[in-house]
Amino acid sequence: MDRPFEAEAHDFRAAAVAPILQPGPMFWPLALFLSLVVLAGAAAMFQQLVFGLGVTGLNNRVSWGFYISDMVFFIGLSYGGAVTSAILRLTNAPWRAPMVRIAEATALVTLLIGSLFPIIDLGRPDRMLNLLLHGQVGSPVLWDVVAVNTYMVATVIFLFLPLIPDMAFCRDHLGPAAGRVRRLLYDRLSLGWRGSPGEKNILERNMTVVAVVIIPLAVSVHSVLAWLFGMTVRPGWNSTMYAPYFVVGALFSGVAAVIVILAAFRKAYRLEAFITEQHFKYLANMLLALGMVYAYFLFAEVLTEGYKMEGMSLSEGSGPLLEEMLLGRYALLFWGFVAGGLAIPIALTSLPLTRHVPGIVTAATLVVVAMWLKRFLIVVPSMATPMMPVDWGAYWPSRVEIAITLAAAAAVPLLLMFFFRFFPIISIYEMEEIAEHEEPEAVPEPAGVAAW
Amino acid sequence: MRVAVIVSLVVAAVLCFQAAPTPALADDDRPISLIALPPEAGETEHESVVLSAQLKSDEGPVGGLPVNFYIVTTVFGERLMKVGEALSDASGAVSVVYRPTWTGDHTVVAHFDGVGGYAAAETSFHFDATVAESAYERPEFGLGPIRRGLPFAVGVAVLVVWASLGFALVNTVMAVRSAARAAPALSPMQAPMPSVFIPPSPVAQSETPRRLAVAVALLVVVAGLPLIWLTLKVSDQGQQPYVVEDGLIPGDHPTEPAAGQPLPATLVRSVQTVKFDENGQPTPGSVPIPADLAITAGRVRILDSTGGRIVTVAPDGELIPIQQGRGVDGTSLKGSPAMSSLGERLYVVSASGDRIVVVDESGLIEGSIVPTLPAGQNPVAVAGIAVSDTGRIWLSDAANHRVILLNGRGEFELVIGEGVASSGDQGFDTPTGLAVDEDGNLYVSDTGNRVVKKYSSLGVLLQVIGEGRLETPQGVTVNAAGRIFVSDTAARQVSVFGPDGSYLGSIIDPNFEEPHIVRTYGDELHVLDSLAGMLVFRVPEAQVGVP
Repeated sequence: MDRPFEAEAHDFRAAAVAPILQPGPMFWPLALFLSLVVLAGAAAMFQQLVFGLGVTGLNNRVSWGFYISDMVFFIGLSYGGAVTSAILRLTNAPWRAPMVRIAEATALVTLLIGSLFPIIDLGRPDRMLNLLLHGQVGSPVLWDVVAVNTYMVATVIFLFLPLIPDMAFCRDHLGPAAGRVRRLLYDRLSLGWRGSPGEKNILERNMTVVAVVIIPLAVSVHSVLAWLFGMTVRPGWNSTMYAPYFVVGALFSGVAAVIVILAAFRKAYRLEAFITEQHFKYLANMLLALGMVYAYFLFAEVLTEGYKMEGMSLSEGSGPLLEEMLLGRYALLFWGFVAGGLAIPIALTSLPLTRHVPGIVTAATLVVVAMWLKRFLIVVPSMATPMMPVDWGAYWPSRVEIAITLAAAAAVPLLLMFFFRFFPIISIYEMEEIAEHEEPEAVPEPAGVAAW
Repeated sequence: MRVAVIVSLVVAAVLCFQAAPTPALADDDRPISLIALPPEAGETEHESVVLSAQLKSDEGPVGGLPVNFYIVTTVFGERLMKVGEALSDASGAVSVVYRPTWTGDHTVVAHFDGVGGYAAAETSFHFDATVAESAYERPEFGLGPIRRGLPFAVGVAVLVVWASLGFALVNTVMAVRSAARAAPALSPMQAPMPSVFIPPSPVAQSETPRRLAVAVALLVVVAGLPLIWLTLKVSDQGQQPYVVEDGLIPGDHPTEPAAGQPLPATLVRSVQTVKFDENGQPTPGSVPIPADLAITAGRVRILDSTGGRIVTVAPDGELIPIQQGRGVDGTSLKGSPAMSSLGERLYVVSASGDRIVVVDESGLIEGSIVPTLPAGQNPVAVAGIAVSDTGRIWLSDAANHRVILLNGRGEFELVIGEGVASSGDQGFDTPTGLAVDEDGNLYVSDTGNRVVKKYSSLGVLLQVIGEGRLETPQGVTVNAAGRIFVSDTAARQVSVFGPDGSYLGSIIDPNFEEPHIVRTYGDELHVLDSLAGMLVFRVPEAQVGVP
């Protein structure tokens, strides 16, 4: 019985495990392509390990470039997935059920990738050890490592807890079609789950505990990340609003990433019956609200810096930095971000004419790309602006940095694709729980879905 | 712990009872003297010095009059920094407490403005501070207790998070396992699809999972607290600088250069590039940090990249702008890193390095040369520029470790350098200053490799100059006799080499702080110092080799 759920194509359980049993015709070609991109990045990384950071475009003046931009970007993406899921869980939003698994898996995968970049940026990974041997508790760097690792553990637990009953489901129902490795995995990870009310109570309670913990934890991660910049007396970074600015930016890009990934897997695994247009509209509301908050932060930043430009000297930095950003060599990137990351997405997600899945996904894709650009604009221009006016810096990424960045971008869908080859793409447990307890109209189920 | 302030009271040699400048006396003003008293170490405060003076008129000590004390600073040019004001007591003595922020010689100026029917008076004296207040730590900073306690508090918060996560995980795992033990799991594929997949089972009522989870959470906290304490302890001890054990990063050099041999040179002119008005504000003509210097037809031009302009140095030392604002094509000189000259024209590189602005003798922007590079080349991060007699333009690209030759129209002709830091014949590690001699040979200050390299106009390495002699070579220039002058920023000196590369000696002047640009004109050597302004030396003909 190779395809036990074929006859029940509209059952969410069948849909949840379909990627495990039959990944689809495009799975392996796409996986091969993404793997090649990742391998190219690995080769570039190897080149960097052999020849040192000299193979990058980093230099004495601009010592943070693509890698640090990537770190902030990918960790920001993870924030969106985790916090979206946690908030929806705590507020008991019934429409969350079909999408939380994808959101939580996205959070973990992007966090794993983002946390690699500080090590890549070091050039010598073995020097991470110095953080333990010579770490200073007064340094945001040390606390950043603590926060990111704690957040990673929390994300794993947050993903794992609702997986336990799903593992039991797979253990009990997939049979030989799952293969030996998977069956062993399901047997171990299901922990002997029986689905008794007592088990469910404890699981629900502990999922709530983790959801409560993960929100401030995620805020702290991005705040500490912001303080890596904000504690430095450099033009542009010398700001008290950087922590909330980063947190909102992370949520903004994270929600956008969830929309994009949700849309991709929805299309690939034909989940339209469960992840409906209404889900995208709800997420678009979040994206719109966050976009406007982020636009407000940007305006506040530029206004306060620009207001003080009069009479400032180069050695004070902010004025020339802003001039370079708004009118100078970074103007194209900056205004590209404003248009592509704020104006157009806000328009697409607010106008009734474009509030459909393609429009919302277009807006989210623009936000994801533009928010990477914004992280680049946060990192590089400040580094290139001199503290003394005789030493302007310049930075142009090398092929090594571009290859590693592209590899990281390719690794996200690749890891998610393989993740869902082992674990249900929809949280079966939560779908069941919500279907049991909520009124029928609260669950966005299309007509024709079997009321199992 | 009291750190005693050790002030070497080199009173005899140091205390200069300079005569106060004779103030203009009003008809009814009585003369008064301000006499410097020997400075003393502060008794109650750390690292402090008591600066004292005495007001005395013909009738004896005068009390109740205000005296201001200043320290002469040389940061951004010489100026007075007010450190305190006090009233004289019955013995005429007046004192203020000062905390030195740097070690070494201090010049103190005590000034009486002239009130109460007395004329103004002034005196100055020196003291040598051997201990200075740290620039980064203020012992009296009020947030010390919070700063010490904060890491512990954050550490406890982290522990609570870990404990909560540990509780959630262990509690869930144990509860599920307990339930499984109470009722064995169904065999795989036992339940038909799509029936309800889990049948009701006995509720696990055991308290064991919860107790175990609480125990784990408590264990995390209990084990974590000593860990935090230990971390803080280790961290406190770890304030010493980080030690590199396994060699050097690229560009580091294990050996210090040999000490320079002083070369006789006479300082004939010193121009402050920053001047202050009576309110202590820089005057409009000031150039806080001069970027580059060029000499055209005997006139000295200084590039003020802060203000985006070029100033000329008048005979009286005044700085007069000859060019400011934007050119016809919107080109701004703001942030320009480097400048060179050919004839009476100045070639100024724009901040982004994407154009070279040509400025004529009167300061008008004639136009721009746009460097064109082959496809795929990184943009140039210009650190230095030199223009040959034939109008060819050399640019040093410190970020990409290369030197580029352009023709007069900005078209790419040649590149030297491997694009990454290298010490080979055709490689550089952060090339900065450039110079071209009369034969068209190029001199490159290879800062990271601590040498100056000489290339033919075709890019063939001819000579490596200054090995073992230079620490951070920056500016380089060649005079008509082929003598090579190299400013060494870190060593605070200008090293001189013969045409054959032999070391002739170094100009070592106490005024040097960051000498970064050198230019010769006749038998004069112009040194532009980022902090000390422009200094002009006359070097004996034997060394300079004026033709």
